[in-house]
Amino acid sequence: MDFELSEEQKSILDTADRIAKKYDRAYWLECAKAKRFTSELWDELGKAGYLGITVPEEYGGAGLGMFELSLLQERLAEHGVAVLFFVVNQGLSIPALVRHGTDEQKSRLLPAIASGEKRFCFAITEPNAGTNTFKIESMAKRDGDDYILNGNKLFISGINQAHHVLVVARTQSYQEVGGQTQRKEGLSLFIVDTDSKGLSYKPMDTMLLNPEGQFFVYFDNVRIPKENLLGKEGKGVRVLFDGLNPERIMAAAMACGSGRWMIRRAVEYANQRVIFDKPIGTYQALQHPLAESMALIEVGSLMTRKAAWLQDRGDMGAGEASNMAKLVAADASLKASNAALQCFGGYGFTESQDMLSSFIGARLGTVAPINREMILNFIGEHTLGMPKSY
Amino acid sequence: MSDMKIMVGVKRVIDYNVRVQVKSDGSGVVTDGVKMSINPFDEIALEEALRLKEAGKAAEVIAVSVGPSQAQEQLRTALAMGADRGILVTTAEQPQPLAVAKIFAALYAKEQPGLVILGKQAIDDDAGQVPQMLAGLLDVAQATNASKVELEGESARVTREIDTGIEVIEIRLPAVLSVDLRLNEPRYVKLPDIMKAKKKPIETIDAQALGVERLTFLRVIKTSTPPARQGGHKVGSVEELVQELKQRGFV
Repeated sequence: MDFELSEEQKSILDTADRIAKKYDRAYWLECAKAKRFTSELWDELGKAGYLGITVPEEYGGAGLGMFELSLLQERLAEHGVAVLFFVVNQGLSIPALVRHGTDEQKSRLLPAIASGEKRFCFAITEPNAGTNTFKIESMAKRDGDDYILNGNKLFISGINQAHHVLVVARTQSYQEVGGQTQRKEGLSLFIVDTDSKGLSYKPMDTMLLNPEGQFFVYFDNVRIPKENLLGKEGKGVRVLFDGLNPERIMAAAMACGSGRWMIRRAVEYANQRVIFDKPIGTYQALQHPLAESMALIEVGSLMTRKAAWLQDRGDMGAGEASNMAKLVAADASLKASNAALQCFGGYGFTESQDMLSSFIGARLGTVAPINREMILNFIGEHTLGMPKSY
Repeated sequence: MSDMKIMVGVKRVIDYNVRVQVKSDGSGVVTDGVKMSINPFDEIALEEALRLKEAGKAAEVIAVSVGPSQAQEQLRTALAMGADRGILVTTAEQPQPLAVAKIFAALYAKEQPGLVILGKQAIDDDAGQVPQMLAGLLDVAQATNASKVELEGESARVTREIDTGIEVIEIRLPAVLSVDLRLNEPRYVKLPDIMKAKKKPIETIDAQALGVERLTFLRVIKTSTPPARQGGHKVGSVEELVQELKQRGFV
């Protein structure tokens, strides 16, 4: 076993450091407050060839894997520059497209994604279908050479900043496929242009501070050419599941990076803030929670790397490892953010200290993109062989 | 001189973001497990060489590192940035400036570059001597602390930042340049180029094979941390500040 990173991998981290120095936390914060896309950062990453890390070389990418992509994500987040599009575009959409896209779809879409010109967002969640994915109600009905899509989605990240949205819809309803036992049938994935006629969206009132924003999305008789069906009609579950491990790996990497950022901020503050004649960093009551969080972040980070490594090898254990990585990383990040916030005392709640939004972000990490309870259910059922609990 | 070669120095140093720690026995600084990088001034030198090549003013950029075999890593980075090939001159111990200058002089004889571009100093020892020594050994023109470089045929116009302002000098090639911080902003390593760099050649030569036997000329007696900063105190007003400064003989 070798924990040493390759020269390419080290170089990715080095470039991430440099880019995040130029487009730093202050830049990110400015974008987040204006709900403006981090386009300068994105362009810079594109020019340096980092947006197509997982895009095959023949389509203009680097042909590397989730391991490299997650390294980049963690390092950017470590500078306080967490990019949500890396989760939904690079993490979710590209792997699904690479694995299930037709040659025509890949040559049409991947080069522009690798260069940074185009971006995907992802739409699955609906008012009546969250973790119970199979209950989604959005319907796409075949009509000649097209599909006609109707339905509502919510919690869709960054659709106003994306060119395409990967939509999960039913091509046969839950009832039509035969209910609970056949629930995995009848789901299909579609590549939909965000400027399609009949597609509209409006921002949700989430109290999260990030540049991407969350949206309600409405499909009102949106016409989708059949060339934009991703994978086989009705067999979307396989496509979907091939995107979910990378999504979890990327979310875990982001949580670890953000955790490191919050710990570093807290250490800097605690080492210079003097109360009772000593820097507050002297006191174990503040030091130990940060130290413990640091150890847990390292564990989450290691598990994330393992999950990415398994995913890149096409190992069946990647699902379990991705779930575990996400669980541990999100918990560690939350613990870190809590410990960090404590160091700041009342100042942690001021806008100028810029800590509270990361605390909320870390808390979100235990809920999205999958909540910790569903991960524990998965581990209980699949790893431990216990009865399904829900 | 579009077939000109440019030789660039690439020194492996402790990364500038690392908080350097002195070894407890005072024999130097801790380098084990510490992130190492290309000396930032050398990166600027390399960037300038690459821009000259891209502008059609040079044909080949050769990156040279003198030091331990691990300096391969920095040469790979230089190749990923765009250098065409690398030369690693290995030495048994960390060479001092005169030895490095002699090594570069030997390589100069072999490669016949039109320009040698070096950082004005390395951020580890801050000696700032190699460029001047090299130009002296080669008996060629030198322009130090360059903040702008323009090649025109057989000569170069070099803008230098000096204590009294900006100086522009013209020198005949071949020449040695040392570069300052504001010359350019080095590029990032592009991901596809990292992979291409793997295929570019790095030649390894032992310093002795270049006829450089003696590596050190000075003995370092002790390395120590600077004394901790003494705590200051706050004054109540500008008047009080001026008075304090006067009392201490600062104004």
